[in-house]
Amino acid sequence: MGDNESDLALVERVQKGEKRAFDLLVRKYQHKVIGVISRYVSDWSECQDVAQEAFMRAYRAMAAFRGDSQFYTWMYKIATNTAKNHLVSQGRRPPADDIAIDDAVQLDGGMRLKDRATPEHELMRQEIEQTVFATVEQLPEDLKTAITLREVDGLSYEEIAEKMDCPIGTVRSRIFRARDAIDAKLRPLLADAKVSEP
Amino acid sequence: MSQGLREQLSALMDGELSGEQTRFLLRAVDADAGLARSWTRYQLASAVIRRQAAFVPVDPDFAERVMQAVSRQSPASGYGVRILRWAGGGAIAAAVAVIALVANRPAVERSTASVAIAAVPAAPAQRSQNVFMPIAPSFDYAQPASFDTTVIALPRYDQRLRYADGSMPGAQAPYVLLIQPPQAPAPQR
Repeated sequence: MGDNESDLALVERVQKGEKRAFDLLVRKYQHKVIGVISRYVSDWSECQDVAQEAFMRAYRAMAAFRGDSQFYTWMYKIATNTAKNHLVSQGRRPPADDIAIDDAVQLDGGMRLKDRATPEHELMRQEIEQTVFATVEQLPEDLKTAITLREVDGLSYEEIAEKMDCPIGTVRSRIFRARDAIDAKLRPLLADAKVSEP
Repeated sequence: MSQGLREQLSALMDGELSGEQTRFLLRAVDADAGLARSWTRYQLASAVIRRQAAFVPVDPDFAERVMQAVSRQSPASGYGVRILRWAGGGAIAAAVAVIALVANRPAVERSTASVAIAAVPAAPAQRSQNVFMPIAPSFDYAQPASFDTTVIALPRYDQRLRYADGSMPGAQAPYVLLIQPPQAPAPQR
């Protein structure tokens, strides 16, 4: 179980007409998608518009998504095609140095935007990273182990339960408590942010 | 914002929530915008721990703007597509039935004729051996399912069994490539 299962569950709900499920997909992937588009479109505001168009296209095509590929791989293709079409419609030429999808989905989508980030954004990024890692370090051992096995090692709840010799329900609760502790530290940090959290 | 619902959000992130629970959770998210914001912060923390993504600046209203645009769209329900697929499937089945009927008719007529002539002694070797007659391939231009702009030309070969006199018995030959690749010309002396 993991990211893809979570995405497929949401896609299924969208296909059944539940728009809120699409909202969760947008919130999950907005930064990655904007990061991908920033490889083609350098202006920040224009980048957001193209990303919005890409999500709209994805929504319209959602009924045809059958889960043959991962949702993000599919979304990535839509985002790159939307960005290229946008450039062509503006009379600009899309860059020739395309990255293979398999490599690109693994890459940090925000590389270019990060390079052009304002000092404010860069400071915010550093603060977020420090807060998250410091909070994880301060977690009680059982919560820290559970969240690390899940996020870093990518184990399922069942595998974690086996490793930690506890019921699956306990694993679920420990992971949630770890996330909640991190969230409690992030919330005030992001409350004043001029940009949203990914 | 209930702790139980946030725990369900966390389980959904990990793909550990049942379909039914997901349905109920989405209703709760609809009623409480705070849950959607928790979801985005959970995603941020997850991305940072996995060292997957950096903090990419995004307009704080981005998701809301997308959803406003989505709300103006017709629902992305799969029902319409399913109905179209069902109707399409029916149309294909009907077309196949018609083709099979038309294709088999000459064979039936031929067999009737051969019964009528059966009394007459047949001339030996009137019917030549079956051969597969190659014909030039035509090309289907197929658009892949992805959004790529590449158009692929696929050669299509006639798979029908033909007699040397050009008649067709109506049966389908096994799918084989009938055209040999071009040979290099022999060197001239």
